[in-house]
Amino acid sequence: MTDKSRKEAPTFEQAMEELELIVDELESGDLTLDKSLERYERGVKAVRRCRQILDEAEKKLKVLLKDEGGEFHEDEFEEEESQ
Amino acid sequence: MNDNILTWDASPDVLTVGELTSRIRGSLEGNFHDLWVVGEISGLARPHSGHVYLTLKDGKAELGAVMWRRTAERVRFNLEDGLEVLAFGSITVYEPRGRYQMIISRIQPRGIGALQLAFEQLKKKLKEEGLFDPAHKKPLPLIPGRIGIVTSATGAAIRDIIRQLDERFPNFNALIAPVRVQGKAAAGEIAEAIRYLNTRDDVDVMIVGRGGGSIEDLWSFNEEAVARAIYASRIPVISAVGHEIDVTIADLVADVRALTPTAAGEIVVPDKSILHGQIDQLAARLRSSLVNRIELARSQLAALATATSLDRPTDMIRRHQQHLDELMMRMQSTASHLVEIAREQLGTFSGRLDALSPMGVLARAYSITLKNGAALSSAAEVKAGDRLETVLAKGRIESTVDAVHPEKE
Repeated sequence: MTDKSRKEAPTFEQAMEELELIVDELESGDLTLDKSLERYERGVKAVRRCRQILDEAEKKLKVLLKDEGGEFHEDEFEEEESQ
Repeated sequence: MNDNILTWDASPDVLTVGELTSRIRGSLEGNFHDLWVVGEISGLARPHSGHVYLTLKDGKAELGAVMWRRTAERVRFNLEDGLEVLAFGSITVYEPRGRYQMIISRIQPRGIGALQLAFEQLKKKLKEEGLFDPAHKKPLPLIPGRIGIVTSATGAAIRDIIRQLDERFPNFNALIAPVRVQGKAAAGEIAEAIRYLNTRDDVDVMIVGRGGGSIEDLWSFNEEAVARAIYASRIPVISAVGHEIDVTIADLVADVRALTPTAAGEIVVPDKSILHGQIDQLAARLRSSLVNRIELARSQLAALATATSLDRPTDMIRRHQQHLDELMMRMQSTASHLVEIAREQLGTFSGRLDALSPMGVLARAYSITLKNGAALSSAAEVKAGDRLETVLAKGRIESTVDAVHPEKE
């Protein structure tokens, strides 16, 4: 997840909170039909966003190594399966 | 008899002060070496040379003592006046002053281990400075973008942590800052790694720790440098040192203390399958609440149609019916898209989602039957041979009535 996408899109917590709010509103049955559909569509977006946040990233496991100049760089981390 | 009057040159028994002192020194050093003495520290002085001068005393006597710089540097606890200690060393004489004194080569607090005392002393000091203040503790992100892990790249701790991450959040993103976790250089390396991760903008939580070991093995996590680095960290820190019973200074300063590295792996990421379950539930409630709302409107309209005219529904009612159909279709297109996405992303969950999808719900439970465009609510409204139209979740059916079985009153 890059910093950029994070600032633009709602976070998981925000999306979940919105979704819960919408479901509560819809379940109350107080909304007009049009309003209900509009809320529903927002809810679907929130569901999609939540799932996306959970699943969009790929597993990354890196290790920091110091080069001769004392600068850090990242390398793949080899997991030891033994022991 | 002039025994008491000696001539300087004549007597071989006359000693210079230096000679006598030297003999005393030889005698004392020969008789009082490598011994333990117990006493209370007073008059502690630490000049720039790094040597430490102090007096050991009890109710009866005082003993001057020196600790050379190399020895003093190895003392882990703070020497302070009033502290009762066991000192090991040898007596020597400082000839210029004619003073005997003890050269201390080892020192330990009395009645408590040196490390234990050092721990208590640092704990007290940092507590007074507010380093353990709950108000300073930062919340952890629910879903971390990237997890920094400060530990040995080869220890049991890193394997335990990775195993948990794999289980709970398989597409995790972690960056290991490998450090030594025991020995003299460890504390410096750990503190440096914490500071370095804070210079990056892609890490939003970190685990700092190591697996179990003796109190000496865990000692780096009781050092002030590590405590200060954790306190100064802008990124929330989860400490994970040793086993449950080991509480280190690092644990007290950290934003969250995990009892073990495995527990740190559990704390740092949520269990993704549980979150997916929660989303699924909300999605199902979202769908059924809208379906219910639309069905409510349909039945209200049907009731209205029945009340006004069986054969010739008014324009108003037709408009409403058409509007409802539109709404339902819009919902279905949104919903089918939702299901598609869910299938793609969830794989194993798709079976469950199918059962909960609005199509499923509609297909199982709802349809509406119309005669001449008017919704029917009673079999008594039709007779054999009538043409009917049935509106389903998807599409419509036209049919002819074969038989009618009105509900008996």
